[in-house]
Amino acid sequence: MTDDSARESVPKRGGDGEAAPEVAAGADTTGRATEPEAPGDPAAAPVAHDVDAPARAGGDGGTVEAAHPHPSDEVAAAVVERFPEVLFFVSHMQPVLHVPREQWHDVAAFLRDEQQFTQCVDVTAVDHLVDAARLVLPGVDPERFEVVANFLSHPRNRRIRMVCQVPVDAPTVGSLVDLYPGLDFAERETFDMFGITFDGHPDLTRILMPDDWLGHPLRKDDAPARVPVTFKEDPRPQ
Amino acid sequence: MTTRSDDPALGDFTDVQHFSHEEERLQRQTDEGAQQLRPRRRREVVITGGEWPEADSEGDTMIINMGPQHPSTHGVLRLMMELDGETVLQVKPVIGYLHTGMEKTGEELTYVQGPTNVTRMDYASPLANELVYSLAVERLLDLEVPPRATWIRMMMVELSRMASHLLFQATNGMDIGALSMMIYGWREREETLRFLEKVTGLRMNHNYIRPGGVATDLHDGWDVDVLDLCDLVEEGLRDYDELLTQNPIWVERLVGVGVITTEQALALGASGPILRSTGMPWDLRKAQPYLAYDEVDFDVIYTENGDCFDRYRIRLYEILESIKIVRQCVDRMPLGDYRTQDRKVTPPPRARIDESMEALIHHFKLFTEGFKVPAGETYVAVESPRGEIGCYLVADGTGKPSRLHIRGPSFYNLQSAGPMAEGSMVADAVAIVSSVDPIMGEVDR
Amino acid sequence: MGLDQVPHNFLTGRLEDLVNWARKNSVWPATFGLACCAIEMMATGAAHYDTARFGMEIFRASPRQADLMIVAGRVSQKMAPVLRQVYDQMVEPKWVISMGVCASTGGMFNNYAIVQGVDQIVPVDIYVPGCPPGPETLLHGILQLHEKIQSGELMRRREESATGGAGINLDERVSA
Repeated sequence: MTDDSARESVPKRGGDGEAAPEVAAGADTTGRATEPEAPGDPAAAPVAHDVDAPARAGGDGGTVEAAHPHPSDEVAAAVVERFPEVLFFVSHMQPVLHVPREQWHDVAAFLRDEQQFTQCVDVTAVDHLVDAARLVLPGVDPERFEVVANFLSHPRNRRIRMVCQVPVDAPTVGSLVDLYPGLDFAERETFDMFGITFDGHPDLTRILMPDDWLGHPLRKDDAPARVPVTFKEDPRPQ
Repeated sequence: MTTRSDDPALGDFTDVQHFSHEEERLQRQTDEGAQQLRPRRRREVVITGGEWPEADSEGDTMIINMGPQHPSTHGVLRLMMELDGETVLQVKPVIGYLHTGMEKTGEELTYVQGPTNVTRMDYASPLANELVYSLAVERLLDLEVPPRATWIRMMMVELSRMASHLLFQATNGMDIGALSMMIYGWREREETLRFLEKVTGLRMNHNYIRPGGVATDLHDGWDVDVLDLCDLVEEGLRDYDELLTQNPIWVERLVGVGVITTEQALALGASGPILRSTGMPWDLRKAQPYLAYDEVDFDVIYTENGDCFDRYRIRLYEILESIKIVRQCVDRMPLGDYRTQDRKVTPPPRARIDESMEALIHHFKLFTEGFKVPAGETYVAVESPRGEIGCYLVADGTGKPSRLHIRGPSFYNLQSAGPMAEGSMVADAVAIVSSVDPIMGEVDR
Repeated sequence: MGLDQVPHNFLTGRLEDLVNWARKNSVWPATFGLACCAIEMMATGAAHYDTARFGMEIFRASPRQADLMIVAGRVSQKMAPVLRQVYDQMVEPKWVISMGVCASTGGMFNNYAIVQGVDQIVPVDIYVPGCPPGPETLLHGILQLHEKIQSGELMRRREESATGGAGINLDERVSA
């Protein structure tokens, strides 16, 4: 009964006015983030916003915002300094790094080891095959697939997104599972849905579809998003 | 030893003396024998009736399949467990049995129809899904919603969180064998659902929060309803606390079971109550406030031990925090529009349709073609009852999203069930999966 | 011996009615919760709606002890073989309620992943509409099933009847 004080009946409360508990060193996780730009502005990472308006495109391909040679976002600045090929953009007030495919793993390792990005919250992909309009970013060679990873730093309370272009004829990219084990499911899902392979993933198998399924459903030219409704009395051949 | 609660709402109650048991249990789990057995060769035992294969040669492990149709796996989760006797050596969740192709369907639906799709992902707290989707669309449109819509959203999402955590209390009790807890949990959840139904028209899958605001204004007398509800749920929580928190069987089943550390939780991508149970007070409502969470007073509940008992307690006390927020919403609910007056996303009022042809055409166009969203991409995250729910939305300038991806917290949290269960008993594995509180609709989408 | 010669306190009836009455009042559902509807199915079993009133409070985990499969939620292509296997494991007589539009027709998810109607896999007795159906709707469906069981024919098997349903042909029964 000596360590009873360690377990109180009531969980602790963090919040206003209380000291930040001992999490990651120096982390102020309970503190408020800087005020977001607009009300109802959830994931606005508290980055310094660039003077340029967020990248936006009209219905026909649209206006394009220049890549920032010297990003005002300090994480992006550090990344661009280390990896000069990385391009930095601001997309709806969120910092985005466009990374060459071969540096995918290295940039993530840099973010984790030197920029305190404790979690990679999500990895997914986008198929741009049939886009009516696509945001054209200067310096980025658009390919059919984009692999997207969102990072979150708990100690610094900020987010950053990493995007890389993946061609359809060699859909492969480095796996981040060795850095962030939690991406195991996410990369398997991306493989399952898009057929993008992740080099170095220990167990890259189908996760959502049955093992004997053919194709990758979220590709735009693969599975139908709508199957016609058939009726039992339907005279047409089914 | 008596520890007193500092929460006046739940009154004083004493903590039970369970610590010697806990130490003993921890001892058992980290037993040397269990560790040594890990890398031994596996053998599958297929039980088909007739003669049972002999369980001979000590050290051999068994692969046991649990699910996908199993009462204690929360829907259609399937667990492959490698066992040595009763000790779990390895757990591998197999998912996909509820894969609904929602992300593909999301590409077929207009932005107006989108919430009907996403709300069916995390069906225990549907409003959180609608919220994150709507916020993402609004982010792409650079649209501001009126303050009343923001506050209605906040209140409804908190009520949804209450309903979700009450469901957890019910199912968690059921999984662990406290069947009466299930009846109690449903008692309060039904009242919450009744209010949600009164406002939104549906008990679940509300399609209430839509891009531009909410579907309809609160009914007359809503404030009385919601305050009654808060009192009722608070009363119920006291029952749960009495029933479970000090219950020696409950404590024995949960304390020290499924321990996870902050580092492990972060590495595995866990968020929400799992992360908070490890001593990390990370809550997006506080850390990166959205809606009007920076204007209301509430606390982030966290504990230090990272076991199943802590995750149960956190969810119990988070209901109290939600009640606190809801009460503040009642006090401070602003007047005004419940949806934006931007005619691009909001249909004309019903009365106008009867008198104006243009309004009728407008209404028709909006609900058949929807509004166009300029090309771009964004990621928006909010705190759902299970953790960080994110929406990655790519628009291509048409009326339908080019890609809709939902980062489901359960999808990531589920991965932590494996490491938590290693070295525990089979019965503990059930408690662990239950405490992760996965909603398979969100895992498989 | 005519009936007038037996002692008092006797009720006479047909064996079929008795068996059907007994079956009707102890339908044990299998837990086959899939998605959103499973939550409403649990709500139906809980205190407010309380299926115990109809002798159905015991949701059996093992299909071998269950009479009724409530397919509560969308059935994915991956789940379909499992569902069929569970159905096959149930002993006759058995009934199926397709709960919710996803189970009945695929609902709004008419895409590659979802079986467009569980009646492609198992014979369905009652379709319960709604997304998800509220507990009242499910109770109504259950009561309809009870009626069907009560009016069913004991000696006729599912395969022989035109409309299916665990040895019960409602139409023939009504017309007879």
